[in-house]
Amino acid sequence: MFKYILKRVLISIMTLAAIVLVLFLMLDKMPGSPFNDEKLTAAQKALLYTKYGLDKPFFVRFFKYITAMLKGDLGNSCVLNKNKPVADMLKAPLGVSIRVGALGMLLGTVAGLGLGIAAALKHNSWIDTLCSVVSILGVSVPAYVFALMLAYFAGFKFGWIPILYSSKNVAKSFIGPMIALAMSPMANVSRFTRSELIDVLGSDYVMLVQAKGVKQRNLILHHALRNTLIPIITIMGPILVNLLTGSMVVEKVFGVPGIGTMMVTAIQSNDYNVTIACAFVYSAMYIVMMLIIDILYGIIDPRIRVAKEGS
Amino acid sequence: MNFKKALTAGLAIAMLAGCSGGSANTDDSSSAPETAAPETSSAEQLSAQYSNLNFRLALSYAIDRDQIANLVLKDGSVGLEGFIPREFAYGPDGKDYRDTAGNLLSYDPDKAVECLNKAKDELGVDNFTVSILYETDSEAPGKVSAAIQEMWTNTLGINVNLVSKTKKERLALMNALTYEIGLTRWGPDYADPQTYLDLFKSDTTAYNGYYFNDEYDALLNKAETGEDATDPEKRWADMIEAEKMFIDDMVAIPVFQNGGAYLINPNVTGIEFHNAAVDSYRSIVTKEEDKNVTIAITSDLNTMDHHVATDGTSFIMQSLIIGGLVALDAEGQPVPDLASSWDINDDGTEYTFHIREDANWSNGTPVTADDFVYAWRRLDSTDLASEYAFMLDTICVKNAQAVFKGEAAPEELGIEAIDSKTLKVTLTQPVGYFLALMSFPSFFPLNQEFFEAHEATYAQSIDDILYCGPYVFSEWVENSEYTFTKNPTYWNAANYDKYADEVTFKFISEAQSAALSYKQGELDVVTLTGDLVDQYKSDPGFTQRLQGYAWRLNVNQQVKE
Repeated sequence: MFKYILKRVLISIMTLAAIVLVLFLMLDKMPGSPFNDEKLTAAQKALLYTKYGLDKPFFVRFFKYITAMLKGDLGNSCVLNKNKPVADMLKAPLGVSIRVGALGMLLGTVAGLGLGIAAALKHNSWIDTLCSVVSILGVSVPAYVFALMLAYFAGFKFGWIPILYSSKNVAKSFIGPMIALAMSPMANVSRFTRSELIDVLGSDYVMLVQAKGVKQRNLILHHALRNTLIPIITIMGPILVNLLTGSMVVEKVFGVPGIGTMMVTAIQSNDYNVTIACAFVYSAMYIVMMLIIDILYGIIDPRIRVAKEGS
Repeated sequence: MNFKKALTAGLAIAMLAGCSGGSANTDDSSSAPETAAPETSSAEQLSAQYSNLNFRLALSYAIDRDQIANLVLKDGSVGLEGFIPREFAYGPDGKDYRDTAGNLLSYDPDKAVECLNKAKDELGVDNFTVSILYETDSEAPGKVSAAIQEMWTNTLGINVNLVSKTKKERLALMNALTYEIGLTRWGPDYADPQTYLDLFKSDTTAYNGYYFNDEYDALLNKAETGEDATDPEKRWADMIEAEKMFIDDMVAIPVFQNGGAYLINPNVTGIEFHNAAVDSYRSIVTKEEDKNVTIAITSDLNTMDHHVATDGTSFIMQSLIIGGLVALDAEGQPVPDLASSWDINDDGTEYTFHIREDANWSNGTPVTADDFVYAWRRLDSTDLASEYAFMLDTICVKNAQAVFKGEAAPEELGIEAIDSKTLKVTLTQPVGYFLALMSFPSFFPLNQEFFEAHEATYAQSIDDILYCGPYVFSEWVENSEYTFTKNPTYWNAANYDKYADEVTFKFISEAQSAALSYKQGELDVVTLTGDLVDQYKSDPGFTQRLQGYAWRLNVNQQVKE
């Protein structure tokens, strides 16, 4: 098990390093400059480039950045929050985004599991239809539209939730973004849970367990659900990607001061250091999640660990 | 998870980061290539085409500017009547520049066709293809370009391609001269036509540098630094003549002047919009009980350091907490702020400001002439490399250029402290808009002692700022909310009772949700964009105004491959 984890961790670190290189390369090739004021003269521009070290060749900048990064220095912002260290800029928005994202994911997964189990047990009933409708809507309605609808109906029409984020009432402000973000995980999880559980419930070993007289509750929890979980963990990765991209638009609609909003502004204004840092954080979150999922596989199903170690 | 899979996934995220700037905004991926035009037209042919005066005139006559403003944009914008917009510069007689200069542009399809036929003869070409480059960062440029495409196709029968780019890509293409016709805009730095006319002088380094006209240069030089510089009437007449010359040459094709639309709580008054200066939120009056005003802003605060700031949002907040030698009244005229009075020498090149005895910083130290000297030297320093250092050059402060380039010592900059409360500024020539610009944040004072003690983190938190304006920064929630409360140490604090106790700016980039929140009573001021303008037209708080931004089509007479 230890060898297995170590291998996954090493691969993750290498992946992250490759991502930074690619990010650097792409930003280098991106047109435009952080200093777009029409009124700037060429001499002033040159001065600014020197000041922020943008006049150096690509690899010099890259290695300088990597060395600084290892020491926890992500450079300074040159547009968004002029001359402020990016590491300081990230702290608050990252905290907000992670909290909203985790809440959304948790809510979506739990609701999705519940809905999926109910639909599987009451196969072909109204709750099954509801489950299908929810998963179709959740997959096909873009997060932006759903967030706006939520802001309009739940926020404006009925006044249940605040439309805009307020630092004075953070908990309440999280409700809207959380529900909007939960939509996609809920749809995916419920759909998979339903079909997997129906499969498992029809299998031979479940019939055997039933024949042994195990109670329905125990049968679902201990025997059926555990085997349903593996395929569901498989889809957690794609769900997470949805969540990350969704967070950008959901944060925008509800005015949440998260990292998604920051990244979009940084890209638009060519604030290189902030863009790299945000994209890196997104990639790191994704890779760490994948790592956790990989390790979870091994714990839930020992056969996978053995097979992977063998290869 | 194997390495390949992880890498692909990571790359997907990286692509997202790298591409969303371009791909999200470039809506017509099927449009013509950048240098546009069919295979046959080379750069020389294109340059010849756009260098033809009759061709440029035909393009201008074929644009129905009123239709663009009233039927396409519908957001309070108006068609331009010349290169200089309305409601931003006023002459020695107090009249709007535009009223004196008159309407120089017209929509005339017959004349357009006539000019086009002349151009065809002169160039020996049967048909033309043109390409319009526009930015997709906001909705208006795309709508306007599509309307112009239709007008040119219908009236002139020429082929028109549209090329959409993000703003920064558009600027890069225009800087490199690798475009044909580009829809661009200019926001004035100060309330004088010069801010527009100077763009097309031969020595400008901006992307308009291809226009060379000695007569035009001579006329502007005469008005700005030459014999007419000290005679406001003659100077004004020169400007009007220069603009006429510009339009006769149809150097660039003016299109429309921006309108701004807002929802403002009818109980809230006193927000002063200035077309050629920073909007003022310093004297807001509210009839609401809590005396708090919340304003939605569509772009975030970039910095509270007034020497490195370049954006409107930052300037607005800096104006609340610091302040200049003068402030602007509702009409945009300078009134005393930190300086109680000033003397001007006879030829208008030396200003002596008397700083108020009771003007103090929030830590109790007096605001002195040295604070201004220190501040201006910092703005002009090579080390800081401020993007707004050029403002010192704009107001013709002695040695501003030389000091910025490091060719002269900072002490040689034309600003000195006669004594602790007397400040002298020396200019190279009289500048009519000098006093009004003293309300601009780049020229605000900075206390050396405080700055040096906080240098590493200066202006990055509410404790790293020293205040001398009507408000202090009381709560700074990054990327979200910025709250200002009254400054008891402001020199005019005694007269500030009638104004709002608390002013909060809330960053919300989604105009839809901001408007909903306004309807709910959570926000007092919201900026409307695009279709929202139409949607909220009947709201009691709906307010419209003309902005100083003038949009024009730059015509590239030196197309590069």
